Amino acid sequence: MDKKQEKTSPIQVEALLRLKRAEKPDAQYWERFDAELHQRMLQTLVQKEPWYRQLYHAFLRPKMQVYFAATLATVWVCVFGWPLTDSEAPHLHAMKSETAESPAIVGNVITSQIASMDLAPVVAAQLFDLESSFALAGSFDDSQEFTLGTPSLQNSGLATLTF
Amino acid sequence: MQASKALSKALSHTDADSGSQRDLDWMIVQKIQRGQVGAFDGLVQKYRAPIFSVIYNLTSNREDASDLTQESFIKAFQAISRFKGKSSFFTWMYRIAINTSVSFLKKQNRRRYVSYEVMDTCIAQSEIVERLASHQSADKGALIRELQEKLNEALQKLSVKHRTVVILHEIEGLDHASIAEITKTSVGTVRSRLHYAKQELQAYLKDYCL
Repeated sequence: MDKKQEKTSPIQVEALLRLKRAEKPDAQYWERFDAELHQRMLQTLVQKEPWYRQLYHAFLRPKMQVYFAATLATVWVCVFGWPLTDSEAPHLHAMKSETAESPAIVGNVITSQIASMDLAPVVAAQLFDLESSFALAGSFDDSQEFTLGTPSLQNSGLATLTF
Repeated sequence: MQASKALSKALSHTDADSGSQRDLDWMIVQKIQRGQVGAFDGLVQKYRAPIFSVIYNLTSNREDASDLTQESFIKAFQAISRFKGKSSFFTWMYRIAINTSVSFLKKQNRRRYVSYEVMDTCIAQSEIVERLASHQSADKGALIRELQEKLNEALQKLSVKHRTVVILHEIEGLDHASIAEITKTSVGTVRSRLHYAKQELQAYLKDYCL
């Protein structure tokens, strides 16, 4: 009954594909294959891997990845400095709110921040000039035009900025 | 009830077999990692035929398949010190063979030659060949050659991803989970690719699906 059913049922793709299992090399082929493989393996043992492949394999090792990450982090800190921490953030918020309320005290706030951060005196001096110019020109609310610069520069008409 | 018991027993037996095979392979790998490189021959003897079969069916060229099989074993030998045993050696080896073949096929995309392996003579007695020969009233030898050509052509018309899944499942007899592990995809993706590939093959081989 089953054999009859098999003979009448359509031939499936799966059954046709299974015929490909019969495509096999003979025993002589495998002898040749083994001999060739041994020779090629010996050749690869003698040949040295190129430097980029050695480097690639070195980076695959977990220890090397940790060393690389640590070196990268050290270089980053040396070049760009330590990123802002949360403890410093409130100072910045305070500075922003104060400047919004009264632009005339911008210079004071910046100068105090610079003093607390212990930056170079050249930067502080430049900001002092900025502070005096703010005091002279008044606030942002008073006028549409706002001239920035030291009094001497404003008088000479050189190096002034108008908002 | 009895049938389900027998089935579960058979399945557990198969699982135990694959587990012991995995352990055995892992022991050989550890030997090689300790410096007994001669033990690699054991792995070559065990896996050369299935690896050759997968590559041959992917490329449809026996010379290319021979070269790529050797290349796959050399790659495995070179990388065996980094093999940690997270997957079975069998899965790892299949993955190397498939990746090697896919890279080769990408390079050779424009010029492809076919060179078929000889079919085992026992196929002439198979029920399918008997049915096809009686239906087409053709000589069995000629029919087998024609069938071989059509099957290889049909496989080559599939994309590499679909071809790989069909070969691993229908020709090599691997289950969906193993194929998913080898191809690093989900079981659902394997099923979907298999379904699509079979539909395509059905269309190509409709003259033989009597």
